[in-house]
Amino acid sequence: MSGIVGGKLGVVGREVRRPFLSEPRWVRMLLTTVALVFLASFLALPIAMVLAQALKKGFAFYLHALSEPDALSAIRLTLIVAGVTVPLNLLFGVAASWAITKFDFTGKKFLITLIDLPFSVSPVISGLIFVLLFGAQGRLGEWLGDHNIRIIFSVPGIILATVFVTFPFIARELIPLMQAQGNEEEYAAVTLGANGWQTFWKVTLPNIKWGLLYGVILCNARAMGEFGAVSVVSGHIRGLTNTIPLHVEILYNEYNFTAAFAVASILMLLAFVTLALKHWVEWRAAKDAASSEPGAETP
Amino acid sequence: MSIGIHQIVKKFGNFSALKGIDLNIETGELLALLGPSGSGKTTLLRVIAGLEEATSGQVFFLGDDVSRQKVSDRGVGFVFQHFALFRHMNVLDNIAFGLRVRPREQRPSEEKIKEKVHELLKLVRLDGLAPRFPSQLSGGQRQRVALARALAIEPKVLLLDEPFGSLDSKVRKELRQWLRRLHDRLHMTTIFVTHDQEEALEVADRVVVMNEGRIEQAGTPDEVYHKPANAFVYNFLGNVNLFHCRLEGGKAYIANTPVSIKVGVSPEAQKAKIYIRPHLLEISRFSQPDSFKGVIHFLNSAGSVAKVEVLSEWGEIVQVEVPQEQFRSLGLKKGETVFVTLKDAKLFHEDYAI
Repeated sequence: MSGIVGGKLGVVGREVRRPFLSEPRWVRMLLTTVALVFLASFLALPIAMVLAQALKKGFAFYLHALSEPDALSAIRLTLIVAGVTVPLNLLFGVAASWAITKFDFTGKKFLITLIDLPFSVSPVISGLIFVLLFGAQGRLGEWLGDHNIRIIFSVPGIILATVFVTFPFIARELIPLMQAQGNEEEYAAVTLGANGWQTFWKVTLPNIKWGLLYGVILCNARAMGEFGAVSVVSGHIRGLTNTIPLHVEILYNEYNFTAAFAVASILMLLAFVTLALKHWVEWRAAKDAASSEPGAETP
Repeated sequence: MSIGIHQIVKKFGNFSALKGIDLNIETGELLALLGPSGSGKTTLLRVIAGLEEATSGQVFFLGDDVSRQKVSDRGVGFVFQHFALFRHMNVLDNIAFGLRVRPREQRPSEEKIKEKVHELLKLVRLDGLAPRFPSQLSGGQRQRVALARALAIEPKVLLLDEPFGSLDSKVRKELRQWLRRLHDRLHMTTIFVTHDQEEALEVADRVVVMNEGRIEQAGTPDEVYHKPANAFVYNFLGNVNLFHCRLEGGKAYIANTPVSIKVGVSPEAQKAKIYIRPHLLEISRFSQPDSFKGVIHFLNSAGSVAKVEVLSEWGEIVQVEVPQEQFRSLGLKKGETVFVTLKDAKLFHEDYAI
């Protein structure tokens, strides 16, 4: 209520002082300071460090570090991995959450647990699973070797490991959302003569689009930044199987700090873009929710 | 379109929601499925629509078995309890949905669709609201949009699940009279589910009273109200007082007080239950033949009738409804001793469990 009045007077955001509800001044100051110091030391400082280190030898060197062939190949590989992983997990995420929220079947709880599995397993273990599965030691590896198919220490392995590590992101975002929305609108569509495909495109998808986009952003960020699982299956072949995070590690281990930080700044940029997108999606979703909820008049 | 329901059984795991339902619905009939929650009325409606598949039994539309037909092919108009409007579409797109998802050959042109939508909006008296979104409508308006959307596909039968359940009582009353008039105009076979006996009795041509997955009674509102088939129906269709009594020598006794009910000749003493509606009890200041004594426990005269609670001589609270006029002439006060006579009670034998 006061929001409307405040909005009209142009003083939105100014807190009404309610001394009886508020802590003493020194407590507020202390808490704010602690929060700011923490943020400064754990976020702002590292960011500044990365940038300072990256640009230590000048902007020309920075550009050079990014444009040398190995770096370019790492960037390209990261884009390919994300480009394959995100659409795959998009399909999987939508299919899994559709199945879980729209149908009843035995083993549903088990499926939900399985979807969470990558969250609870260390990425290094995830990578090892694929090495054991497709590596030269295993039966499958022998067969693959005989047929000249390379999975481990090449791009397919990296993609497999990344898909495994990132598949919960979209499904986890959609399942609670679709559960909250229920099936009534879909039922209504079906009684009106719509087939499954029409129901999905015209009714379900518009209702979940913001959640879906949010999941895609998170999934993409993780796919590009994944280190552990990819590190195990990649084999670290320069110019061939190095993604950006792996390339950063190699440069760092070679004491080429400036180049390492320069390449790392790309990931940092990705983090900023992700954060901004995430913020925008949340804002749009909140706006949509506000206009589609009953009682939308009250801000 | 006539609907036949033959031996429908629906089980959810171990729970039997419907235990063998047989029912015939005539073309153009307005039928109410009435029952408490958990009686299976909504499940039956969803089985008719095809939203639930029956465990066994058949549903016939015009004599054709549609039990294995998909929902989208049955051509039923379904109005959901919470309306289930598409929240991201405006009123026009909501109503047009059923026409737009038709295969290309059967789909009307966009102008025809718009024309049809406006016709329907006029029918449900919402002209001018086409560009609004569901969130910008009141409950009653949403309800009518949902109805217009269901009618757009020209269904052969209209199914409504608790159509007025989520509206406030004044809007409910208006809308149900309006639904009755709409039905009289369209003459479409209509089935609606409700737990509100007043709504069922007021609107429907025929009322089907359900309980625990079975039909207790099917009949006109008059029949089910005045000639209840059993204690459950009588109990469900309005407030009742329940007395446990003993039948002896052609008379009924509550505790040791004889009460004035006609009882068929019974060879020996047996137990029975007496059900009587509050307005079928009469209060007087003086003892009448076969009346019982009580003390006024509570009075409420706000409403069309005065509600009086009498603490009977055997220690039970008895609810009595007294017409306002009589209430004033009697001048009743709390704590006074009065005499209560049973005018028309229903007697059901003890072995019948509710």
